Amino acid sequence: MHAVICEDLWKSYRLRRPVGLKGMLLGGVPRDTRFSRHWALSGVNFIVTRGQALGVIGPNGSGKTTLLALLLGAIRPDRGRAILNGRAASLLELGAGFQGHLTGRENVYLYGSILGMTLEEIRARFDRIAEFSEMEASLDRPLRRYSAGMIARLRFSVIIHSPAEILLIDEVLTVGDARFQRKCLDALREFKQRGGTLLLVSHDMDEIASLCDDAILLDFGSVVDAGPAREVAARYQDRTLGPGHSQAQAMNARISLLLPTRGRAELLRRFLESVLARSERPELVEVVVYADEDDPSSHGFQVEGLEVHTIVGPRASMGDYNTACLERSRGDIVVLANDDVVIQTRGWDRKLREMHAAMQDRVYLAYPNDLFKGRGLSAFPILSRTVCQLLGEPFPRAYRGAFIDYHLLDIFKRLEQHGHPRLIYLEDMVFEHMHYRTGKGDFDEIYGKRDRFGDDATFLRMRDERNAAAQRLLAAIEGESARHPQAAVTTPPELLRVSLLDTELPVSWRLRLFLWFLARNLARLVLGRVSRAPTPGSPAP
Amino acid sequence: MPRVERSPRQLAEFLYLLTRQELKARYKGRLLGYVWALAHTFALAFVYWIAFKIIMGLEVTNYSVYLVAGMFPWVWLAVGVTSATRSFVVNAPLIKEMGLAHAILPLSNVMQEMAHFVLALPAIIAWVVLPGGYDASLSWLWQIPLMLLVQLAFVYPIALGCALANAYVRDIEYFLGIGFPLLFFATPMVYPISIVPEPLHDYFELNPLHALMQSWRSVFMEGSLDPAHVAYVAGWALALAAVAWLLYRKLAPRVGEVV
Repeated sequence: MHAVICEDLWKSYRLRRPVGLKGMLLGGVPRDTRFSRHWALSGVNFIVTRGQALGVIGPNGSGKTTLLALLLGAIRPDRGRAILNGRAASLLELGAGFQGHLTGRENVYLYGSILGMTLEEIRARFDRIAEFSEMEASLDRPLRRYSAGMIARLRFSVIIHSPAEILLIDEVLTVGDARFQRKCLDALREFKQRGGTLLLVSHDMDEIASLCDDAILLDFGSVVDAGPAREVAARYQDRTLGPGHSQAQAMNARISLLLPTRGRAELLRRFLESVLARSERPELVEVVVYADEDDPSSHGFQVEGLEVHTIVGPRASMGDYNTACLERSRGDIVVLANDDVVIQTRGWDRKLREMHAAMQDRVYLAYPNDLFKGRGLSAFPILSRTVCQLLGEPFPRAYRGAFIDYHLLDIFKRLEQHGHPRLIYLEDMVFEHMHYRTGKGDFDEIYGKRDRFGDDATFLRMRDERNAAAQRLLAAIEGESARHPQAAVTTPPELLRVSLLDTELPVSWRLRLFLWFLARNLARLVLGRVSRAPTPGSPAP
Repeated sequence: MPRVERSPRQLAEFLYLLTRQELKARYKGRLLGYVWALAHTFALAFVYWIAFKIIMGLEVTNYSVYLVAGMFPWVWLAVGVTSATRSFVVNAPLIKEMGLAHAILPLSNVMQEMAHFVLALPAIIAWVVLPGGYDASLSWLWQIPLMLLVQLAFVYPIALGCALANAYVRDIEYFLGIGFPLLFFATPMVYPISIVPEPLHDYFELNPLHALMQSWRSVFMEGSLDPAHVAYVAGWALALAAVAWLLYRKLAPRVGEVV
């Protein structure tokens, strides 16, 4: 279902020569030269599907505001159609509808009414609006005593509580302090999750990239670039600020720690405190926790000075948990962590950013020293946002509990085989893994309940997906033209095909995979545990 | 076009909020809010009373009542139209951003001035009854509401037309600044129509403002209403409404671009 449709949209303005009433009445200026035409939009086409967010970027005067005005029906197009399918509300930069001599409360009512709400609807929402704006105490003061930030907060609060299905927002989240901005972004994300459609005009590329699915770049009234928001924003930024900019920016990259947890409130707190204590710039670090609905002890964890988001959802697979956290996260660097980890390296975040900045194309799989598996396994994989997008599903939902680390490592081993060693072991960045097998933690029921062999089959089955993912990364490194033919595979038993005979992998990794799976199959026989998923093929040596 | 959906009820609520809050803002925060609102018009009447009655010796029975009974409806008309004329320009952000139902904005200005007039009614009546010595009339109960409606119907199309024109040509508001004082003296407001020289008399009668003001005065001073006058004003109101409607259809769509 399309919520916003722009079809071959053209709009010109007549520029008035300074003629004045005298000139008009007395003539003297030929009629057709009194005006010159300026094409603000020439042939703009796009569609926004319900529940999606479209970012509109472009330099000043590129037609962004005209586009919104056309959608809102404030002005009419010369040609084409601009349609909003559904109730719409807009929040534009001029600050319409707020009157200085009225109180905050009166302005909420008036503004709500301007947005098309009935008195009943406004009354029903008033308390929530006031609470969201955090200005309950000032609502009876006239608006002219408010600061610009306060007015922006109030405006946003009204908009976000309006019953609109489509929000058109122009450059307004830049007002208000950082914490409130974050609250707005969260509210907009929630709005999207409820099925709301968003059209966001902004010069803040991070905002566009984190909030929007797709983006269009307007220049001189035409769409000159379109595609996934992150890519369009990055290309625009490179074009306007030069490539050097992205290096400087990399040193301010945000880091997201993804953290599924269950029933380990104490470990969770210990982890969060170590994050805060060892970070040089905790303001650029966020933690996204996934807690099960039936595990209230893990809900709503907060640590003063650290941005912690908690997703509460149903019990699901490890892949689901990680994916949910990833979707919620905004960082440029994504770290898959665990609750039984303690960060031991002071300035770990700076080390990570330095690595991130050094990898110009951002294609890497980094992992810290966990003082347990060490170099051998990427137990806590670290990916750039770019890689997450290239992989599509970096943490496949099919994995119920384990093997995500192996899955990622395998992809990057394939890359290594093609001459691109992008596996980065950060030996001096310690994420100490307090695993029970290291003797640093207890064997609790969370470990105990794990089905240790449930994912073996999944890993084997997903070989082709990993190969395709590696090819995509390869293309990103070498440019689109480089396409490597897939290795011809015969159909020996599954394990052989995926390990020893897979020419896309380095020999050492083939050997290791083969032995590892062999050992696991033996262990399974010995332990007499039966995997829930039937293993395809016969894993015979 | 499915823009912001607005039911008639929602529009009415919007008009109510806009008008009420402007009124509240004007009366609130001033010790003598209500008195100030009245004082201006009474002072005007007083100045004319000095000038015409005392200095020039104009002979009109109960001249002070004659002045006051006409002055208040005039202020409603003149201030209402003048402030409504600026309404699109003043609210440019609203129109640019919201694609708002434009016609409500000047209506709100006219309604505000009408509310001032209604609030002033007790003072006008007190003036008519006490110093004037006229009897309060029961017929006011229908005459005053009727006249309120007639004047609203007469003023609003003018206000809407001026607001639309002013969006395109800003000169209108300055033009009105000159036009209303001229009209004020061209209409028998401070003098009775009886002293207008005979050859001009019929032209003066054509002025709908005269019929309107004369109706108010006869309501307040005699408790009577000339149906011919009311019908004449109503006829004008209809004609003006037709013109305003045509203007609105032609000019409103591009108001968002020119304000």
